[in-house]
Amino acid sequence: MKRGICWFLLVLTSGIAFADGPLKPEPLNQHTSLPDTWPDHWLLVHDLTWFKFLEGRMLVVDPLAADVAGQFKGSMSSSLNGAYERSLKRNEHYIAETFWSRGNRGGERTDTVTIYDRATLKYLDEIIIPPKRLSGMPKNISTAITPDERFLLIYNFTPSQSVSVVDLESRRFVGEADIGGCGFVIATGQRSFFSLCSNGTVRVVHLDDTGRVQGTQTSPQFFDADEDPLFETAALSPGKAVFPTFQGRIVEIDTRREMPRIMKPWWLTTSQERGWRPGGARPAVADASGLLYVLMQPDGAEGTHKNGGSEVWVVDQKTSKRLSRIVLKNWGIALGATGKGENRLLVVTNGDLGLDIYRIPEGAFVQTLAVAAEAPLLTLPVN
Amino acid sequence: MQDQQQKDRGIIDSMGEKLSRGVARGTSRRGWLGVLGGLLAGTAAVPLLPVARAAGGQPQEAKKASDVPDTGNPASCDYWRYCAIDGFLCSCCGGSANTCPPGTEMSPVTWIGTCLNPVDGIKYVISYNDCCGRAACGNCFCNRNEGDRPMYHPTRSNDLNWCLGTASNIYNCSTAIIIGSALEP
Amino acid sequence: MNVMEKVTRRIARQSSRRGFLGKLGGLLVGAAAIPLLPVARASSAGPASRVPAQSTGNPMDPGDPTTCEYWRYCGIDGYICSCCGGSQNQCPPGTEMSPMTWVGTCRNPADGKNYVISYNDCCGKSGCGRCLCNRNEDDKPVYRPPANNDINWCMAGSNVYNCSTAVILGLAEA
Repeated sequence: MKRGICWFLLVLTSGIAFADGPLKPEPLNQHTSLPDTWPDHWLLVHDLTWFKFLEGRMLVVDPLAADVAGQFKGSMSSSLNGAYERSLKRNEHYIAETFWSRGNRGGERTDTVTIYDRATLKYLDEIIIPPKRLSGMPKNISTAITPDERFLLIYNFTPSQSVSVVDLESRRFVGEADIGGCGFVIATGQRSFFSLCSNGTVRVVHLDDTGRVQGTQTSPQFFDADEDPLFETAALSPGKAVFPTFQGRIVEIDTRREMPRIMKPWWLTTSQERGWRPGGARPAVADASGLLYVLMQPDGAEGTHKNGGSEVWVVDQKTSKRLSRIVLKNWGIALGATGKGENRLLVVTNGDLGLDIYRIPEGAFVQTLAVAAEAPLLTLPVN
Repeated sequence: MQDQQQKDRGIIDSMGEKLSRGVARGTSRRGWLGVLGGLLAGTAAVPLLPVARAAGGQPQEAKKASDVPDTGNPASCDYWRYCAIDGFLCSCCGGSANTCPPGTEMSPVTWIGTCLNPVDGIKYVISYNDCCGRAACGNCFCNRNEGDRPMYHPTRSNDLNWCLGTASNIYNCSTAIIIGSALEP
Repeated sequence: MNVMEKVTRRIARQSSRRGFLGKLGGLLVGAAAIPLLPVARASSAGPASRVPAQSTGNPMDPGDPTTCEYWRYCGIDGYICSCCGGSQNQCPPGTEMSPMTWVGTCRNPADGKNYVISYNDCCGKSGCGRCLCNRNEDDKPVYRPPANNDINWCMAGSNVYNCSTAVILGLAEA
């Protein structure tokens, strides 16, 4: 680098004139910019970077491109298992991060919501939040955003349990809601969220228009967190949050109103199929048309709930009926979904931590991505 | 093909063999967890537990809990104590099954599991304290989930980063410390 | 956490609200007892499609219990028992109160304090069909009555949901 600069200065002072060859000189300091509107099938990949937590990343990927040059579109930092949300109307990405002033040996901890511009991926701003963010395996319900994209909600675990509320319009932390005994955040209605509780209930918190806690509700007990707990990931679609349980029930919660409505759990498997159970780091997703996909393992038992699965079962949520079974090319440990209409894609994190892409709902294998990621356990749609 | 894939699950499951279903279903941990649950919330000191311990409640220095017949390789995922471990084995990171590597800090809070010792047939309560404050060790990753439950049920979850109440919450490796034998309800 | 879990299961089998009150733990402060709020009986007269406006008769318990805006209904989801022959804290005749219930806090505008409210369902008759409320911040008053695939919290009587009450259990923490 130094040599190049010196060379350039030497040329300037030597008075040599440049003639134009067949290739024109190029301006320096250019950046590729992404389009303002991203294709629906693009993908966000959260790389936990398990061997170096502070180096976490969010990758922007085109999963249908033919090679790594076409697939890898850009990246954002995601320090210490960052958590991602986005606002389409503001064209902003939000990544909740944790920093230590002395790196791995600690020092002072600072948690932020880091704001990036959607198209340029440039850093825009940061919002300081209480240094209490959950640190653990990445789950899509560690954070939530209200449907109008006004408030960002961040689950804290110190081990005290609370939720930080951030006003994205004023870019300020506005307050914390205590949710002791419960964890994670799923938005419901316009100004409420609920959390999953270890006593088999959900806790609902209502916020007012300034983001302050207005009231809370606790449901009756409807599941047993020891015998058959809900997985702590939700297949989210507009108005609905769907949770598989360890043994293979499906719990659907209606999120259209401030008070969520809990549907009767139903079995995904027939009584002859009970050996099949959901599994993995993220066993269920919904696609843009509302179909549910569940990662299933044969011979499930106590302790196998994170193993993943060999098949993905496709479920029509309107009828609660299984439509088909996709036999995976490679064993899967987590699911993601992206795309709309005829271009819907299932993203399977496989046993080698590669990313397998399938067209859905038919389940046709497309390719394994060439993009290198250390621990891509959470993949998210871009739109 | 699927059997090979199950063996190749790599980073998530390095188990050489599954535990028998009889053991898995026969264990009930509620009695122990009910006692210990209240002790694991935000305390700064290593909790004192209502069991006889060789060193009177203080972290032990490079020796096993007294009188427990203990066989197996602590640098291997299928070592009996690791039935619910998630992370790098401290035995491969400069520490041991029950000690942290030099210079790291043991987390005062963690979750606990119950594992069957095949030598004496007794189920022991294991405390999976993390060692913190150095970059991830990177050796001997293991994840087994006997008795594990989701992260909103913290006293039974190994997916949480338990480096809490330490100078740094950077995770280095996991220990598996015997804190007593499990009582049947 | 497991202590709470055992307690919750025991509560589900009891119908005594005093037992429930005693077990709420962190929700109640000090010696808070159930405030005595004399309430007017709900009028059961009137055409099926309309319910006459009511008042509790107690200025410390303001508002009309037949409307969704009544302060205690901040967490209600269902038909209001005040419109169904019962009242905000009593089941209509012929129905039974279920012990499995949502519990929450609502702010009383008369004194500015948060009260713990228990939304016990009344069970044993078909759905009342009047005064359907589900807390909703939208302008659009589009409600959905409880459907067949909702969890039915009616553990009492014939397991059929009729309406929801809003019983004060005590003061919440400040």
